[in-house]
Amino acid sequence: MISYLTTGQVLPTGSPIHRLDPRTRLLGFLVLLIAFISTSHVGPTFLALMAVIALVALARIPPRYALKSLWLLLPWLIVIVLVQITLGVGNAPGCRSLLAWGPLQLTACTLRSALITLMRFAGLVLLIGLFTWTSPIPSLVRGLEALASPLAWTGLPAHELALVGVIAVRFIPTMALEFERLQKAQRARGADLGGGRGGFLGRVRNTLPLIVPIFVLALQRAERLAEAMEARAYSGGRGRGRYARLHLRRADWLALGLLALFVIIILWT
Amino acid sequence: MKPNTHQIAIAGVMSAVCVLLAVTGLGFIPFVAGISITVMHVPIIIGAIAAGPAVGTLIGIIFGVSSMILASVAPRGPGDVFFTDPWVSIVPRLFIGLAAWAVYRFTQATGRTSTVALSGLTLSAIVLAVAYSVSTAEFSLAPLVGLVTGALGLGLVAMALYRATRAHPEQLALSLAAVVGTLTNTALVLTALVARGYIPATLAQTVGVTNGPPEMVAATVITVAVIAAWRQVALRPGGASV
Repeated sequence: MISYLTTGQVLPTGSPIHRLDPRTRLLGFLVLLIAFISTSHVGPTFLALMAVIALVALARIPPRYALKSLWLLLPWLIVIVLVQITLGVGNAPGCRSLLAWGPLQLTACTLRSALITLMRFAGLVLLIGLFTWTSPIPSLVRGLEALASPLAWTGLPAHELALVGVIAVRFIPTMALEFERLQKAQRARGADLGGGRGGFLGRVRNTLPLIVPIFVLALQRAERLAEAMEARAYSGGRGRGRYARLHLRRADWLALGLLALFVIIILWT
Repeated sequence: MKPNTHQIAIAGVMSAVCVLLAVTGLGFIPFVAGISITVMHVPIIIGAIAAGPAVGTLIGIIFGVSSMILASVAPRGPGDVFFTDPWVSIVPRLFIGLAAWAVYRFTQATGRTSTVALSGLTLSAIVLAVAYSVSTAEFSLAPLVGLVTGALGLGLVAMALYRATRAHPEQLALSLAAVVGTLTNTALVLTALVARGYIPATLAQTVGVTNGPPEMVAATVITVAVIAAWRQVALRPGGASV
């Protein structure tokens, strides 16, 4: 568990996708995400799915790794699709009935709906996986901040948002280690952490020796962090310069062009 | 609306706690017959109470994004697949912080009587919604069961309020904030699931009625315990802790 939390999920294969500017990757991710969740037609969903698969291949992600999360979800997806077909999700009057076998009433509309659901979730899982495999968190946050800073005039605190993300990610391993220490300490004090004694309310109370200290320690850490930041004269994002700068290179412009083309095609179909 | 350093730090650390609860499974408390209820939204409520609605919304965004990512790379069960859709995982969580903070502030500002009155109204509304949902279910004794549930529930609410009038008003405010925050989470997530066509409305209603109240209870217990512990520690005089 700790190793999962500390090493993260990035697969550094050195592919063209990895070398893109984080802003380009972020824009691509957002465009594809919106494409998946906003369309309810077969054509664009299929196109988006093909685009994601092509990108996964381009990023040189080993196929078995890429398919692992899909494989885990596949049984559930199939169950969900079957349930949806049985419940007639997406059905409308005037749909051609294809198959009627007891509770399973398959019409053209429910089949289409089921197909879209399958493609959409498969695409989303691959897309999110691709994004986590190709984006190290620091560069991701830099990209987010860079993209959001033009919006700063509307009052959106881009720098502060990015900083919150950085702090969150940086503290996850710390809190995980804290949690393990806490578990051992409470066990040494004889706390009944796992029991189902006392019904539901008893079970909630049994989790308190773990949950309450985690929160209190977290809040205390936050206070010390704020003090430390202010002691080092942290004054917010205004006028803040940066050491590493982001540059858009040729590959980025190519990717952005392809993205624009993709958007046009999706809107057109 | 720029968050200050204190707010940034709390938002960041509470978001880390959210992710930790999700990944370690601590955020799931087994309820009955294999169903688990979630308390992963409690850091949002606590963050909002401790540092304001902006912080609560920030934590909500990060929690939503992390639940979206975890749903696709480390799914735990069948329902997880729906959380890869940002309308289900991110959008509902934006409002938890705001709702909890608003209720907390309002009840703090208006004093004990209003808090008790508001708690009574909220809890009664929840009980009546549950009773209605049970009585319109599809089994023969449904109306009777619904009536009994409603009567019992309202009786419990009356008892709780009677005890609450003697309780510390701060505790009342915290409890109500936790209840409303959890209600926001449950209601908005289920609404999103139905609006996107992933589950039928009747299933959403059932899940809301079975999971909602226990989650509110758990969230209340945890929120009150945490805030009480935290404030005691902060008030205790001590030296510098480097």
